Amino acid sequence: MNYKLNNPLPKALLIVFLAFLSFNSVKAQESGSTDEVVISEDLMNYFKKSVLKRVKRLEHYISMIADKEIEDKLRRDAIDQTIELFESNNNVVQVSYIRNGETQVKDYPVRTYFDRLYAIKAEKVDITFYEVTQLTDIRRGMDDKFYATAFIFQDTKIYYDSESDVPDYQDKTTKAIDVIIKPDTVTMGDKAVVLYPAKLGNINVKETR
Amino acid sequence: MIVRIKQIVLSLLILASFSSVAQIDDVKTVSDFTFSIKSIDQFIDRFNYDEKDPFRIAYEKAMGAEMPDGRSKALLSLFDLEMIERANEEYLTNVQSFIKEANQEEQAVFLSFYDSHWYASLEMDISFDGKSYRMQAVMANHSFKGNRSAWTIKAIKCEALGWDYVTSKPNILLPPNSEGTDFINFRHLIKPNSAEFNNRRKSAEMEEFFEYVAKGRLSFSYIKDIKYYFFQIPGYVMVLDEFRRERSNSGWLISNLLAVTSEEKSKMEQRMF
Repeated sequence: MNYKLNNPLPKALLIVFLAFLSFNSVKAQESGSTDEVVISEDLMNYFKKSVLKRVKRLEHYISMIADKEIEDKLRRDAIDQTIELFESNNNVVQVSYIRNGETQVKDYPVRTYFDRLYAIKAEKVDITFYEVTQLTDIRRGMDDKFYATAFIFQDTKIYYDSESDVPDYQDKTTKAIDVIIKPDTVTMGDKAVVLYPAKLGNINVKETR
Repeated sequence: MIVRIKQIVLSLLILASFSSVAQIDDVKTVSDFTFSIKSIDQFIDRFNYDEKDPFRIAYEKAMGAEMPDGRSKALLSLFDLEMIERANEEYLTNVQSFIKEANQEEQAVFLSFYDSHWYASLEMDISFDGKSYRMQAVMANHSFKGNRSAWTIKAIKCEALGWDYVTSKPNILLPPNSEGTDFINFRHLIKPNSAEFNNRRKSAEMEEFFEYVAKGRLSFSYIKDIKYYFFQIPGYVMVLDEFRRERSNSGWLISNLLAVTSEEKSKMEQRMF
């Protein structure tokens, strides 16, 4: 996969990245509750790594689906594997951009969005991600799942002539991605073990350039 | 005083672009993304000059030292600096006082995501009995037992239809991170006869509104505009808008700061509902 960052900023960004990895514990205030649940820093760090790993897989699959130099079957398989990253087929990708001062918005069910990405009419599509993923604090919802939002930054170049070095279309988008961690108790031998798989939810795509 | 704040704005703009010295397009792009305030979480981190704020981290890494008067600069970077550059003397004085008061050594002001008295105001188009209207939903983040939290609908307003529903009871609980994706889930959750909707529509004050949804008379289009209102800082009200532009001073920024008495603030907060 093609990641961008051959520039003088990586050190600072690496620090950003590492700072996010050294996550603080959940900062919830409680109104005298008796069922206070304290999430350890270790568990939070585990959540964080698990979330970032899932986001990286999404980036990897997006690049694969768009890349017309990759075998067709692999790209179709990548769509199926991408859908498995999500909590539900009902999750949507909401795309918004500003044209003539007006914000235009459209929702696509996740599969439709990735099918469209696969089918872009062009000779070459090059999607890369900057290694600047950011993550909000992870918070516990009313359904006892844990929620956060991840932000990734994507560069898309579309070429109608495969020989050309200059893209016919280029945009940079910020993707805000809902991330959901649902505790799941499984039995291993005679022990009950709680697993915390991370899933993706809705995605909000904003064009920045 | 004005000269001082303008100098700070200038130095802040220089600081924010320190990573683009090399004039490399990618560097500026990455820098803009990194420092842009993409969520309320990031806004709160910058306000508190938290150690995980990218603005603070990048400066300290690049300079090998703490930023002099770092929190003041971080607070100023939360404003729409394009507006600050054009602002009148009264507004600049307000901004200066606000930064000074928020940053007092003994009584520094900090924000928490779990504070009361801050709200998201969502403007959206709706269809009611086949006609289009503009509706406002006021959302509040609510803390519950067991370190749980959720976004709840506090008020629904539609002047054209005479709607002015207000409730103090948490209902239609959206996940605590909903603001991170601009409440996409609002219109997807509130769908007639969906199990989630029927389980969550618990509020007598809003029953009429929920009935319109349940009977299919009311449907929601996209959210057109979001503003955040922060009432928890003594003496001030902050209004946040999203600024989409290719600058590091972008994202969720303070578009208006109002210096108010506690009585005025209380009235303003009441007018939200």
